[in-house]
Amino acid sequence: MVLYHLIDGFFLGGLYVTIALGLTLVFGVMNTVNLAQGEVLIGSAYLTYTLASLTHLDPLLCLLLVAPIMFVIGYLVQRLLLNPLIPRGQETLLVATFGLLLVAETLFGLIYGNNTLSLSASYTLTGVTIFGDTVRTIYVIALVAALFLVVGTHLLLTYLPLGKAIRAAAEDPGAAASIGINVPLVYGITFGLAAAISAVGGTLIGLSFGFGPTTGSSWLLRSFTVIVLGGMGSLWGTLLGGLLIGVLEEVAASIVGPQFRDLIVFAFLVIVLIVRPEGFFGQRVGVAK
Amino acid sequence: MKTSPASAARLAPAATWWRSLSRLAPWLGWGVLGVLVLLAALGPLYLSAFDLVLAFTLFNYMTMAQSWNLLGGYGGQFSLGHSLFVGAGSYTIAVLLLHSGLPLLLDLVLSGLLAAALATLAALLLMRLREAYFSIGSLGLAMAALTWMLNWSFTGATSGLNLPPAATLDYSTLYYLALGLLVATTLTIVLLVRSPFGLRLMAIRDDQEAAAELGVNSFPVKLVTFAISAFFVGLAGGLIALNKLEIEPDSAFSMNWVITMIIITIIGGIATSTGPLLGAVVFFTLQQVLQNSQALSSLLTGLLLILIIRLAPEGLWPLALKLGRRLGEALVSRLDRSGSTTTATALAAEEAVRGRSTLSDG
Repeated sequence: MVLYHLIDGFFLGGLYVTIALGLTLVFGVMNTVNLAQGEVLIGSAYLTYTLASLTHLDPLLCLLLVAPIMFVIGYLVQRLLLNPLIPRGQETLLVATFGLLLVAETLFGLIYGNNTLSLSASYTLTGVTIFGDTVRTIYVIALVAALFLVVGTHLLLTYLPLGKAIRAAAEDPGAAASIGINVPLVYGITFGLAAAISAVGGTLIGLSFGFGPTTGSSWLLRSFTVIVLGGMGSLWGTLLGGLLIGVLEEVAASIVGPQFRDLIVFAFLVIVLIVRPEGFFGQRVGVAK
Repeated sequence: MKTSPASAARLAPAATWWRSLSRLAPWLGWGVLGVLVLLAALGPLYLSAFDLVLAFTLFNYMTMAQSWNLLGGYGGQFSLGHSLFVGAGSYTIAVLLLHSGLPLLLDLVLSGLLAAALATLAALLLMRLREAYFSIGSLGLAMAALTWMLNWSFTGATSGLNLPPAATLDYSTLYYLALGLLVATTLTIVLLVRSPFGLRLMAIRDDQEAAAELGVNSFPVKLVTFAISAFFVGLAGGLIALNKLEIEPDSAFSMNWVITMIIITIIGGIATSTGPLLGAVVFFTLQQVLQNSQALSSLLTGLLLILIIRLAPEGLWPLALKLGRRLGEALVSRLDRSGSTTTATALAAEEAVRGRSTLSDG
């Protein structure tokens, strides 16, 4: 049934929105492509794993602690490593985030071993019936989380003083600095926020799929496909892009076989890059209203 | 301090000596390189079989990093997809050895050519993309290829292929093939980047719009660069398959290949010809010293990468040159302190005029 695949894909797309939102924020504000986004996600999943096995609390509840930890890590990475490199151009930032990717991957392997882990909760194996189709409960949770995160980020950027400072710094760092905005601080907070949002995505990955030290790059590519499709750095574009990729992957996989899931997404990424590298929807965070 | 031109020109002995040394530096570099190649060519006379295999791996690292550097360093196209060409080379030679009666060396050349052909196709797709878009696009292609190979029954899907027994070469033959490839790659790239073609390539990297206004058409230049870079990586991939004798997708198309190329190039010095060679030695030494703890070694290389990009983004080789020159100057001015006080000024002026062209890029 095509309809069932459409519904499945729609909810899977919610998960993709949560994993791509951090990348969107970092690109939209700092014009940095974070090659370590996959490791931010998987790192959060590992943190949640540790906390959940220590406290036996629900993984989603653990996020209350994991997200602030990821915020601090993200903040420090931006302040100590990435901020000083911004004047040297994008290639330097690529190398730096690539170095982070390597270090993180190795640390995961050292601490947790090379086995595939997964998070478990009462709702990981259950389903919800929607229009006659059984959707995994975790995907439904993911879609709700995605909507909350996108709307929340939008409200933050639009109405809070911090959000206005972020948008100002995104649009013109020089001008923002001249009216008294502490741009390095704003950048640090932005990366921290992106990491905290990715903590949600990472934990959802852990609940929906298995994860290991090297699974990060496949999630980086998925996140990137979403934000390229949505228009690099656009919030609403990320929402639309994520849902669209979810549907596309699910429908295409039902036709050519589930073992080609990755191939479908990566091929789609390359096609979108070639046909329309600026994406289909929306504008960058800084430029959008 | 007033200095007349006449007194500035009259240098103290040490300064004169230093000046002639820096003038000779490029030739000195070539001389050292020649001796090293000669020593390497005699390798099988004094190296054990074990050492030959180590050297084989080191040479391949150098070749691959050198090739990546042509596109990523001189061309400014930060490829994350070069693993594709290693895998393509490995699989081509395996398939040809299994299914065609062609001689082994021809198979090897064909494995490089197939990689180059794939790169041409990839370039047609990706070359419009700039910076991070290109990086991610190339990574996407490589990952797509890996997924494809994991499912392609013709090449044995996940279990891969075993090379026929006839393909077994002895260690010194493999050693010479890798050394020959390294020398050919390095010479080609060194000559290429110093040719008008190389100047066009670097002009495009530095400012594509300005280059276009001067009449440089970026597309063919990038296309050819990509193909040459992939050709040598494909050949290295073929050699790796000849050494391993059994290949499977996860290792042949592993992300680790391109990671290794990038680390080596960045550590040694991006967009220099000596950098990738030095970087490979550093990387390989670290890997060998810590071979009992693979994780520790990759952790250290990752940290080294971050440290270098943060503190000396130009890499170790340019850093070493800078330090060497500064040390030389300090030494000279100390030796000549009793002599002319104008030495330092004259030297500084000379350095300013000749800049990097003397000592760099040996």
